[in-house]
Formats: sequence, structure tokens, C-alpha cells
Amino acid sequence: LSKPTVDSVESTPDSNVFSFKRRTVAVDGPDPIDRHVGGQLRLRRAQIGMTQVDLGSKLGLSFQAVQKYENGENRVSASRLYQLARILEVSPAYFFDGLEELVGAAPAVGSAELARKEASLVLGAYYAISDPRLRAACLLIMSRMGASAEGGER
Amino acid sequence: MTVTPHSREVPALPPVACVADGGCSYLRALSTIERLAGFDQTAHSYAAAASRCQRLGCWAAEKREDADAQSDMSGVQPIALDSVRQPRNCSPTATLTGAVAPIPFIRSAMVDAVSDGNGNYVERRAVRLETLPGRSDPLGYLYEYWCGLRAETACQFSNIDPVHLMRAGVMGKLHVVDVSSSDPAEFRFDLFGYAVPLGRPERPRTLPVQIYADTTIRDYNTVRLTGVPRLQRVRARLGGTGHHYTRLILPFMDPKGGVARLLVAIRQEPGSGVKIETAN
Repeated sequence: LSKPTVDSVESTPDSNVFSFKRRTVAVDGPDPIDRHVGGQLRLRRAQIGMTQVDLGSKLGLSFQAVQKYENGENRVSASRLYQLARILEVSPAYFFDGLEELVGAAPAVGSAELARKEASLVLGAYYAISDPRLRAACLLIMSRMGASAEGGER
Repeated sequence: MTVTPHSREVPALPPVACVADGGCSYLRALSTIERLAGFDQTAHSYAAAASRCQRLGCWAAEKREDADAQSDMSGVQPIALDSVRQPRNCSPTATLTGAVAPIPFIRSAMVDAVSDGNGNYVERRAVRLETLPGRSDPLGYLYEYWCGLRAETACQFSNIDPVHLMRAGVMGKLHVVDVSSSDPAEFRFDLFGYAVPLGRPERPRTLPVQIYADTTIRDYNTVRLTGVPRLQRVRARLGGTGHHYTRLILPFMDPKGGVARLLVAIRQEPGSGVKIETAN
């Protein structure tokens, strides 16, 4: 398998083959989260009366690059986000304000912790099996159980 | 513009400058422009600010209120009051007398005048774009901005930076016309300038006087077909009222390169809006 440079990984239950699906702006359009960050950037910039040209010159970029950030075509890196927050005099968290409404609330902290603990137990037990054929069999059983459970729920 | 809160009692609060001339109308116009440019989230923020203003009284005044308003405002991002003011050198009314200086133009041979039997007339004169006085004038500023967009972008409506429209000081006298239909009768106003005293027509063909509607549609269609901006001096008498303004029509493209939208900016000239006495 090639190194996954991907946004999403899908596994098929009947095999160990993982398929990778890369999201692209050209095919799928801008990522909704990137659009949200871009929208917040545009709103704040307008609030303080700063043009795209002004902001671009402060960042050392063209105004077209600022446009691409705003409409989500280009993803804002963490360092750039921090730089933008400094220039626009907001906290970095400002760019994510209202994001929960868009993508749904994050899972509660308790259940996330539980999931992490459970996952680490499963992984530990899995890699404790030294025989690779037995590991593969376990994986297959778990996959099948998961698939039948999904079918049963329907 | 100064406003006082109107739908809620705010005792001992002096009138404050609203976000700009037009207040809520200004924010709604901004919201429409952002929506047309494809920034729904930003459009929603402006619309929310405008509706809040209508619901609770002047939003700008509320910003200065104490604790109860502060708790009410939690989570709302304020719009800075100075963000939408135009720079001093861009104000068309920044003369000592308060009068608007007309844009000079070289008298053109291309005068188109039409009239009807009800005393209405429309006279349009083509004005050379080079006569615009540059960034010190609202239309000049807008034209320079458009030239920059045309040179460096695909010149689509989504390329517009609304801060430049704010700086130009044309927001209330700005129309956005959807000309994507090949039938000129189907042209539609996506935005009609709230400070233009011609009602709120949905389409150019529903403008108040038939000859005025016809000539306006013809001018819009010319820009749609040629993709070339147009500057005109318009002098009209519509229903007994004189209208005298300069009109700048700027084309914006669709992804295929055709003209999809027009940005029409109007600058009223001295004598506009005056009731004209008829001989009878």
C-alpha cells in the first residue's frame, strides 16, 4: 500500500484491502470547514475595513491568494491562521466560531475517552497474538461481526 | 446618518452614528452582495445584524448599552462602526457647500432622446470613461477597481471585495442586475439601490415609465452583448419629477466567459429629484 496522503480511509469488511479516497477541490468543491474559515476571515476583514490587497500585502501574498483562502479553494495552514489572527486582531478560535452548527457537535469528552481506551485495549490484544494467520482470522471475525451487526440493526 | 433607537426604550443614550448611511438597508445590501458572490455564511452574518437591528432597535446604539445588552449580545460579532465609512477623499458630498460637483464630460454627438405623450422623456448621452475623475469620485473609484479586477482575475461576481464598494461610497445607489437570460425582458434586479427613488422594481421591464424601462433594458443589453463598460449621463422626466444622474454599468462574467451580471452604479447630479412644473 502506498503511503496514505488522504483525508478519508475506507475499509472493506471482507478483506484487508484498504481503499483511499482523496478529496479534491476540483471534483468535490472546497471543504465546508475551509469555506467556513474563509467566510470568517472575509467577515472580519470587512469589519475592520481592510481590503484583500491590504491583507495580502501584510501576509506577503497577492490578493488572489487571499480570495482563494476566503472561498476555501486554498486551505489555511496553522501558521498562516495564527498570522491572520494577529493581523485581524482576533483569537485563532474565532475562525472556527459557529462551526459546530455546520458539521455537528463534537462527541462528548467522556465517550471519546472511552472509545480511545477501548480501542487501545483491542489493539493491544490484537498485537499480542504472535501468529499473523491468527491475527488475520481475528480481524476477519471482527469485520464479519461488525457487518452482521449493521445488517441486524437495519 | 444619526439614528435613535426606535423600537426599544434606551433612556439617557445619546444618538449614535449608525454603521453607515442606510443603516439596516446598508447591511441588507451588503448581505445580498455577499450571497450573490457565493459567501452564504458572511451574507447570513450581515442579514442577522440587520434583522437584529429591526427587532431590537438600533444595533449600533445597543453596542453601547450596559450589562443586559451585553449578555444579549454574547456570540454576536460586532461590526465596527468605522469599517464602512468611506475615506475622506472619496466622499462625493465633501464640498464646503454640500453641493455635488458634476462629472465633467465632453459633449457627445451620441444623444438618444425619447419621449411619450404623457410628458415623460428620457435623454441619454454617452460619456467617455476617461473623463471619470479617478479615485476621488465614487464612480471613478469603482471603475478603477473594476479595471484591476478585469486585468487580474476572471472578473466574476465572486471576485468582488465588498470593502471596495464600501470605500467607493456607492452602496445605496448600486444595482446588481442578473442578465444571464438571453431575453432582455427577463433581466432581473438581484439588488436595487435602496437610495434610488424609483420604488423597488423586480425587473428592469417593471421600471415606472415604459420609455424609461425600454431604454434601460437596451443599455443593459448592450453591455451584456459587448462586455464593455458604459458611462452615461441620463436626464429624464418621469411622472413629473426630474431625474439627472450619471450611470456606470460594469459587466461581470460567468465561468464560461459570458456576461452574467451587471453592477450599475448611479451618481445623482444637481437638480435630480426636483418636481418639474408643467405648462398646464
